[in-house]
Amino acid sequence: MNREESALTRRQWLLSLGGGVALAGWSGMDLEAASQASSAALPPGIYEASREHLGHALADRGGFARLPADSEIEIVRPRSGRFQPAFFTQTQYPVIRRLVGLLLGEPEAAVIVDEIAEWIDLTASDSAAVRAAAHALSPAHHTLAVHYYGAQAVRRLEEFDPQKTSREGLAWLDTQSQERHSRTFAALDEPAQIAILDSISDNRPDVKTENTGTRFFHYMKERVIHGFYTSRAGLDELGYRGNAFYASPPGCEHLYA
Amino acid sequence: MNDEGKAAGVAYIERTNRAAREVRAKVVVLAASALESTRILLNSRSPRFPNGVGNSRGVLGHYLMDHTTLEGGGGKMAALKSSVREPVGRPCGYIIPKYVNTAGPYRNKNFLRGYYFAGDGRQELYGQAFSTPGFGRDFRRKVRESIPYSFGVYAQGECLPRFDNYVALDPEKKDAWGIPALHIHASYGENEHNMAKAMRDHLGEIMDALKLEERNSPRDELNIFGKNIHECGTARMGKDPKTSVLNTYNQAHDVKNVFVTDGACFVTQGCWEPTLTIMAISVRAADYIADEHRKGNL
Ligand SMILES: Cc1cc2nc3c(=O)[nH]c(=O)nc-3n(C[C@H](O)[C@H](O)[C@H](O)COP(=O)(O)OP(=O)(O)OC[C@H]3O[C@@H](n4cnc5c(N)ncnc54)[C@H](O)[C@@H]3O)c2cc1C
Repeated sequence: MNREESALTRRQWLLSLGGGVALAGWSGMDLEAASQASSAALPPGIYEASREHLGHALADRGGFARLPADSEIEIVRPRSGRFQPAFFTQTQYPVIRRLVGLLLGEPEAAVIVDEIAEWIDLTASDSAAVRAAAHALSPAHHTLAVHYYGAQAVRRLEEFDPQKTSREGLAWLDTQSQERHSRTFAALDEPAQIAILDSISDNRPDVKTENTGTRFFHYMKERVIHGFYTSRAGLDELGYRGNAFYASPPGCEHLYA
Repeated sequence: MNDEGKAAGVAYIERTNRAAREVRAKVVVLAASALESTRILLNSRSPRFPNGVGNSRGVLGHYLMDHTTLEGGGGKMAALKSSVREPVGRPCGYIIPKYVNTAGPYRNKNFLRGYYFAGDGRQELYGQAFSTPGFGRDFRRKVRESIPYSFGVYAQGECLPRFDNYVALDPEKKDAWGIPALHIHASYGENEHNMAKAMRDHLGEIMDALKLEERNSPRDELNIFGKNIHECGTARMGKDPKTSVLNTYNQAHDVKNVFVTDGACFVTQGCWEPTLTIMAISVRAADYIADEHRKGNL
């Protein structure tokens, strides 16, 4: 044994424990190789965006970081030119946009209305694939999903069909509008549209009675809540300032005096 | 393995080009996390160690543990409703240290060991929106101005080490590199289930004392084994090579220049998170390795 070797300190041993990982080819690789390695398909499971990311969105006042063009993150679907809905038809989509505006009490032109309506179209168009993925879980992953999210949430993923709910709901709105005013929902003025929404909202007098309209309202409101309160505009409205901590515990100042 | 019965080094696959390589070493330290280190040992088969290094007594892979949790307790703290957004949405994350089975009044003869409680109390961000009726500007004002406070609580308990909770090489399944994967055989036993009953009663008492409204009851069942991601054991320490894999300094009884310095070495797990203990044990093992190396014992 030579002198250098015998003089190994604890620190050097600890460092070489870390070095062992590099030797195995994990940390020494170049970026290109790393991106190839990470392009492998995700393991089966049910994925949910983390709410912790909200803080980052807010902290970055200079605007959101640009995501790579082929990113799989929901909201980002790069496009040039006018938005083309992937699920809703050219006549349905303006009604979805209108409903988002009414549910938020925002004017037609508000950017947030576009953001949320586009996201609803995206999730509706992806929903069949999400359902198929939920059905295709292996028994082990299914068990795990039930333990993580609860049986009810997993069943909803397997069964709930936003496309059907929307298609039937939009048709229902038109039938009601025709019955009441001999016009399509889109052609009604705002008070008439709101009156129809009032009759199916969760504030309606007969909350217990459900129909195609109330189910559609429930779906749209749930989407709008998620869309709005995770957006910059919604988080600002809530006064949310991102992940933060108290420098000293309020109410316990004497501890630090 | 070399002629002296020591490990000569490690074989690995280069990730970028899949080339098989070897590095020679005086000492091999495994710290790949509990199950990975054990998998490497199980896969290190040779004529001398046909069942893997560290497995001459059939103990390697056994005594797998993962904490038990009973989750889902909580509700709203009605007295704390506010119209003002707090600068920090989480006024408190808390831990109530384990007191069950510590002293007289807290003894419970239905199970060994115990559990602690943790959770958080916080101002809701927008959860209240789903139960706020209506829509439009008025709805948004209510969501903004009537902010409830939620309280959540769960219990995490110790899992006893049992021989029948174990990992073994899967006869068929391989990982992406063609190396045999592990099959995990694990379930909670009587002690854990008895402990869960006490956890549930205790959680109920806490929720009663806080007068929580719109309650979520804690789940009836313990979380599935493994959900707690605090897997430990499978290459346990011990003085007796017949019943353990490593000695008290994380050194393999079978091969003196092989060390395992992660949660695989745990003999018991307590009810606490494992990482600080893993780190302390690693530092201690590193000291020992340096010493033994200096003395020429490795
Ligand atoms: C989501 C989550 C939350 C947790 N929260 C807590 C907590 O709050 N408190 C706590 O104390 N513990 C927590 N734990 C447990 C804790 O993370 C682990 O106990 C701890 O990280 C184990 O440390 P380790 O060094 O043994 O393994 P790891 O931290 O897993 O490190 C092992 C390393 O070895 C590498 N490796 C594996 N195989 C090979 C190989 N064949 N060749 C080369 N390199 C390899 C891995 O890439 C990895 O970098 C949590 C675990 C999870 C998953």
